[in-house]
Amino acid sequence: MAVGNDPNLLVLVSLAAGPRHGHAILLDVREYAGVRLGPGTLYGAIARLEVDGLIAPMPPEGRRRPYRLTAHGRAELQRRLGGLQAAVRTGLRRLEGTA
Amino acid sequence: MSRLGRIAARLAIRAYPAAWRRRYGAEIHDLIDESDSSLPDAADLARAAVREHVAGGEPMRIAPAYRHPVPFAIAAAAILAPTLAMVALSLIGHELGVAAVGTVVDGWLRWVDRVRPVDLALVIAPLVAFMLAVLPLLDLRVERMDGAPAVAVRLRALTANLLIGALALLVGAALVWHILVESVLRVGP
Repeated sequence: MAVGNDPNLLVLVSLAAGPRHGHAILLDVREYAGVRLGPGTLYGAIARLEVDGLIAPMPPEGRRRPYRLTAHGRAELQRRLGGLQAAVRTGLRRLEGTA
Repeated sequence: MSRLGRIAARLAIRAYPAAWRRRYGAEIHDLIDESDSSLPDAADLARAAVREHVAGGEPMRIAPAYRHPVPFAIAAAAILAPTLAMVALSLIGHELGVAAVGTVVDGWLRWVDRVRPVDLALVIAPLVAFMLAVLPLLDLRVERMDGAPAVAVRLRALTANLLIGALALLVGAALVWHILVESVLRVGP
């Protein structure tokens, strides 16, 4: 699956830089991936990641609530990025081989 | 976010399951207030709300008028009344042969024929009245059954709404009959 089509991965990558609330995640994802997540998609991903224990809510700041990556989330992100990295390396090698 | 987009997004948030709204509602409201996007965001929220209902096991209820059957029945009756009066007086005047009533009704009908919006409103009124009368009887639920989303339709019987709905159907049928007789069946030399 392309990274842009995987809101869970986009949110995990955003939170790898430190705790962020929903709006900050939205802006960060737009900046680093060029993907504009809708609010429903973003909070659908946040809810799933929270249920799976990959991210955890922090105390609210007014109406905003920052989220942080858990240790389990960090390990999962490393596993998924490692998989992507292997796929990218293999793909590029094969493209070079057929050029 | 545009004003229209904000309103649509707030409405879409109301479509989420109650528990979900309690947990994330304030955060999403904050996001909407801070965001610069518009109607596509509202559509995204609506899609996600349906997903949450289907995935979460809590049935999504679509029953817009369920709690207000009496006001809807009154509104339906008010909308139906002019057409009902016109049809009833026309029947009395022409089918039962009460000439005085027929003369009065013919005068009204000639005026209605000249004012097209009124004519159109009188013709559409039974359909609108029927929908308003029966809407509070309808309770749609989208829930998950055996792993797949399913739509359950529940109906209830409320005398006033059913009566007004049936009356609207009768008036509509009388109008259709009248239009057919006047415009189709009697076409010729």
